[in-house]
Amino acid sequence: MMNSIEEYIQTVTSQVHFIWDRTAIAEELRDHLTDSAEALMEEENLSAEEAQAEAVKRMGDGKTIGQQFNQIHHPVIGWIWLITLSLAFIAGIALVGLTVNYAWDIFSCSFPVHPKAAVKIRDLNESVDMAGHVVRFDAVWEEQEDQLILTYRIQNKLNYSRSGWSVTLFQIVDQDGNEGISPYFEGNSLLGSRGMIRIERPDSGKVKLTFIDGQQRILNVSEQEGQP
Amino acid sequence: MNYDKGLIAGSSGMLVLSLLQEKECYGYELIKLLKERSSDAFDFKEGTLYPILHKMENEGWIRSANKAVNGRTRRYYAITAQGLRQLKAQQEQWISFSSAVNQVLSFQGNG
Repeated sequence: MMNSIEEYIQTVTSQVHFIWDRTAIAEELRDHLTDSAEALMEEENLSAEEAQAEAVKRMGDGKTIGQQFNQIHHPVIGWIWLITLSLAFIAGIALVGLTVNYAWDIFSCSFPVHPKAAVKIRDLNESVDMAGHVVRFDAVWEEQEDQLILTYRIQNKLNYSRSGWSVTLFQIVDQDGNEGISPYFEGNSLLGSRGMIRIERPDSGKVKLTFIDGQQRILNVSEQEGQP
Repeated sequence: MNYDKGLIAGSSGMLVLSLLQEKECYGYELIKLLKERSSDAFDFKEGTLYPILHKMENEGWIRSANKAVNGRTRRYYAITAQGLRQLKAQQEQWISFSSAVNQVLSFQGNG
């Protein structure tokens, strides 16, 4: 059976529609009623039950006080507060995440790609400037017998599109007319991107690059002397 | 003496602030102090104190913190800088209001 204190607390808190505040209100009232009842037992020589009943009586009508609480712990204000708080929390986490992500992309794009399970057979030092966008070819790698990888970096003048579509800045064609497999982006940032392209080892040892602005380059992709 | 409810409601905020100006208190402590200081004149319903406290906290006049004292957690209230300004303004209002009321009452009494 519930004692008169708990009964009273429930009457009050049942009026508070913003249920998230009910526990705190209940705890505060319980503290007060316990103090009050203990004092009454001591000073007025009441039994525990009598003291609890008297303490409750001194509090005033539970429903009225509950309604007063409800006006202050209003659900609309409460929800706005809760939602604002959680949105701010999420925004904070997102901001940190994005910053780290951006910083890492910018950082990683300043280094050449190092393909896994491939051997470097030639250093390249070929760069092409297209109205501020600079494409730089770093190296040729041997992945398998007839499979080569070209690694490159692109320094963007400014890149508003972080991901999604990206313009193909160049095309690779070997002397037999075979196109390179579409570039694979390793990293992509505001300031640039980096990636690698798989090509079949050309018999001639050379591939032709055609850039979107019409510039052309012949790249030597044969094994360099001194490289493994 | 029984006072009009409106009179108590209007001034209870000021009384609570003036008690909190001395030291931080929990609710039951405030009730005891109010009764002592007023020689039991303020026999208002104890439960009504808490909505008043919560409202004043919303206004930024006081702030609360849970503290464990003698194995029990109590919610203590303390006055803020804003609360001190509010108390000063309310006291000034009260003094000018009560002296105006006294003037009218004494004029009638003499007449």
